[in-house]
Amino acid sequence: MLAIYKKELRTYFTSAIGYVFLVIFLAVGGAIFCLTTMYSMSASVTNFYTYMMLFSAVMLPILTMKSFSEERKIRTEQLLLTSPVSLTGMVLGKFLAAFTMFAGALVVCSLYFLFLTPYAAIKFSLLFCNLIALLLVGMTFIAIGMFVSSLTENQLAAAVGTMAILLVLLAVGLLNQLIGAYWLRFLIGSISIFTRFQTFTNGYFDLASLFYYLSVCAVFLYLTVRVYDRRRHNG
Amino acid sequence: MKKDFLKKAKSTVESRRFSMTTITVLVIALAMFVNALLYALDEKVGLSVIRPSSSEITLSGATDTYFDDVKDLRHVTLTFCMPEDELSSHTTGAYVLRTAKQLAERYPGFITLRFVNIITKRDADGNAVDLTRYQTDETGEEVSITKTTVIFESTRHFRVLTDTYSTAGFADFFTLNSSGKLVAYNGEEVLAAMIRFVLADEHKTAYFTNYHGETADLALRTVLATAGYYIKDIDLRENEIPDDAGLVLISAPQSDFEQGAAGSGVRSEIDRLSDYVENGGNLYVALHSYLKRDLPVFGAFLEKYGLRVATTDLTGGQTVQNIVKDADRAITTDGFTFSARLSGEAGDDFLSRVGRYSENGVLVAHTGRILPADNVTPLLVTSSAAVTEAGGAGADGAGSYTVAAVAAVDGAGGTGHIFLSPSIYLSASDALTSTKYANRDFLFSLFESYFGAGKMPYGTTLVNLSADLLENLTMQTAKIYTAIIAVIPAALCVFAVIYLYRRKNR
Amino acid sequence: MIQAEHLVKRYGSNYALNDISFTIGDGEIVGLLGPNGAGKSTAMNILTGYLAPTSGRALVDGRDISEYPAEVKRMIGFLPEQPPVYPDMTVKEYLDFVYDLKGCTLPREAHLSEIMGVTRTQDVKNRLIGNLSKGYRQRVGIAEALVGDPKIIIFDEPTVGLDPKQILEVRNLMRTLAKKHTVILSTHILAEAQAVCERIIIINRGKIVADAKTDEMTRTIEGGYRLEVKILGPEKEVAAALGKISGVSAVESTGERDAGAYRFLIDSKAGADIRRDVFRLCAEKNYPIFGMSAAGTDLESVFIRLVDKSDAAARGAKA
Repeated sequence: MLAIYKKELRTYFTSAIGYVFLVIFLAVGGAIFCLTTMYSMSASVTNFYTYMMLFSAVMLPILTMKSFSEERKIRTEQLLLTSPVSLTGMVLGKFLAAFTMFAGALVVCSLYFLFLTPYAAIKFSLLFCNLIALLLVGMTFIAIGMFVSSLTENQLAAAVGTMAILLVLLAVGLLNQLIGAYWLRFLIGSISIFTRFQTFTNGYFDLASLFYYLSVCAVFLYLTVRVYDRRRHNG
Repeated sequence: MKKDFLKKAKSTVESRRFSMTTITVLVIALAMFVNALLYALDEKVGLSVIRPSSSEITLSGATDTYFDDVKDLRHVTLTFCMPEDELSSHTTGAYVLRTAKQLAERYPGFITLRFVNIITKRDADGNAVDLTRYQTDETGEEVSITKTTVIFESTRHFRVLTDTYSTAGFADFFTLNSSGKLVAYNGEEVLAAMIRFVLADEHKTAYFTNYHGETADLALRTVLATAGYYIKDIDLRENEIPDDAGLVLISAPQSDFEQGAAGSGVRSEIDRLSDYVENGGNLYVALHSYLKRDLPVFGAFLEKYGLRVATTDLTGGQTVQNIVKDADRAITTDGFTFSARLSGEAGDDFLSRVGRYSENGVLVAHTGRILPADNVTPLLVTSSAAVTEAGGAGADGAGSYTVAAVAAVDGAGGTGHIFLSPSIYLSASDALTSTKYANRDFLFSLFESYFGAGKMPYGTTLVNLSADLLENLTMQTAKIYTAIIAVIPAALCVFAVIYLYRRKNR
Repeated sequence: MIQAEHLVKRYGSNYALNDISFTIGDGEIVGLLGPNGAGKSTAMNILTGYLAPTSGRALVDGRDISEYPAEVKRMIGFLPEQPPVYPDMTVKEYLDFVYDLKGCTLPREAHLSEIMGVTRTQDVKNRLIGNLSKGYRQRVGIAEALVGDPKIIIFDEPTVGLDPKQILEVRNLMRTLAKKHTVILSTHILAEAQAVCERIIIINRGKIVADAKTDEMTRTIEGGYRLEVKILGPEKEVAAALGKISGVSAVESTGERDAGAYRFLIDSKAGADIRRDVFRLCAEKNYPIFGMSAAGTDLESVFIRLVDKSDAAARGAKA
């Protein structure tokens, strides 16, 4: 698994994709930071992270689109699957590599808040909470992205497909506020990424949400493994 | 024999496929189930490891003796429309509940809390409660009763606060910034004010004038509501000012008022305003500082009562706000916003009421200067040195400049007051919702001292919900930071292009 | 070393492998021969763990690949039909990656240098694989298969697309490797199988049609052989006369060759050497023999015959 992790990470930096992701992420993330803090005269942490979450839903598919699609297309998956690495190891290696990229970029953006320390009392515990929340959301997005990527050889289809799924999930969460029926709102709230994120941004570090993100992530990684397992058995 | 073998092979594959699919479905279903379970549990119990500190809010002390004059004579009931346990886990309602309880504890026997379930229409003891009588308020307006409604009631009046404009509920007890986001919790002030309201003998109405391009000024309206006024709009071209008008507000008009021909018999706006003020009425005027240029008629009206604004602005500058903390260095380097301190001439009463935040002063921006006159009492001043030093234009002499004042008008029907602020930022929503500046308390004090309003709940603590405003951040510094932040991806981009290009040709 | 037991791979109603069993011993160099679509690649993919069989099992060194996938895969180096290389890695980076991937414990630099030496890729080791020619890419693929010094090396159609010189190099390489490893290669080129392998397994339509040592294959499979003679004489009489020779199982005339002389293909029964009989017959009847040679004893005809036979059998089974 480590071999795959290292290789994926290296590939991000020896091909355009890693740089494209980082440059866009840091540029837009930096812009969002400036606009939500300095140019609104606010030291609000929550605003920044909420926008960053929406932005991540668009950016992370770019990071994951290549993961499996490319391997399938250039037939290198044959190398991976005939080597002593387990399916789980392979999926995890790629997942962690994508996550490292995302986490790195996000941490850099979060460090921008240090610029503001002489001008306001930044609540670092809240920032930490938000950062964790977004990392968890990112994990989930990446897992979904990997799953979609494993279904197709076409990178573009993978990226667009993932973006569509993520935006639908977020929309469902936002629209939830309009629904009247309590039980339906409850049900959707319990599976909505956005709702869970909001509890974190309000400063609640809550175990149910933590479990939620980890479980969704795990389910999609499991599904990705299943996709490959199924291919092994059914040709 | 071979056929049997193949048959066996077929069934193994299918059974395996079936079992793996089943396992996958079960796994997903299990995950969803556990999540729903934990979510429900969380709603009930709250599985949070870290929680924001909403539970440490206590009374500020400003209301400790606030009700001493009435607590033994009267009684007020606060009715919440949610069961107590549900309310205590409600994101915004929890705050209100806590403060209400603290107030009730402070004034036992004076304030009673009641919790009604509006679905079953019963209170905590199981008694039936009739809520329909609250659905029309004393002015005849329809009020809606929802889960997040709070009803204040005394033997004299009742008041219903229902928040219909935000999804969180209880927004009346919070301050909203210009984008409608909850900025600070203001429950102590609002609860105290509303309790006062239902105990008052009479309620006055504040009228906003229309049809001159006035601003909507929502934040100011909220402050007025807290101060116990009903709020309406009035078209002075058509209507007289009613008798219940405790205050008329002219908020940043952009076109002039009508003078009317003398002796025409038709009453003009200015006629109505003059009559009102000379009969003991109160006027609150906020103007853009370029008064003389655009509003000659209104300018003349003000001058008649001693209020003149100098022709040059004290400040000019760009339109981005910078907030100043230090009242000595009053004007920011963009010459735009600054905090003014209270004038020594404002009177001890006045000063003592705004006392708590006086070190930070009152926030104004882009203001003009009010020239002295006998019947004009300065309320907010700034020094000319500060103006000059910070690069604000328009400092045309030594001494202190008045940037807000009130003129007394002695008329046949009583003494009226005209308050003038040649800056529309005194009541800007960000200033009024700020926890650092005394704008709210300034207005409360103004209403109480000069406009004859009742006892105002100033000095309470606005509890910041989100992070503080940035202070002392100049545009230059902001630009430097922006540049640094922009350089990082740009450098990475350049590096990437060079590196990848070189690598491609390996 | 390698045991395939009753491997079946079914896609819907189509059987890619239909009950294949074979055993390959340590150090053998075996060719899987068959037309395109016969199931060679499928068999290899199952042996290497890329696919799972519908039923049956594959054992390597006594271990079932579905139960001990990691151990088995460690013992196998595999070069698929298309070398699984990453175009934007350099050769060295790629081999480093494969080294990590296989969990190799040999000293990295020495081992990889050795592999690059054997496959003659040292001079391109810092070039991007995407920039290399097909020949070099194939060599990189072979290098990948060699990482970790696996006991078994499997090549799937290793010489497809290479020029004759490269083909020769690859074949030599495989022969060299066979000295110390068990090598399995698949091909549809008979000459290749014949040239490189000591043992050939012929697969057609998912079934094993033949499995024998190379040099025995021509002899033992069909038993008899075929004689090609050019005889001058009236076609029908010659054919009839030839058919009367004892030991002859079939005579076939292919039409005129030299003016008047017809070419006949004579199938003889197992063990019968009819050349002298033919000579005597022709001498008796005064039919000049313009040529006589053993025909169709090469692998090609054996192969074609076997394949045709199995196709016919399959068609017959369907009918």
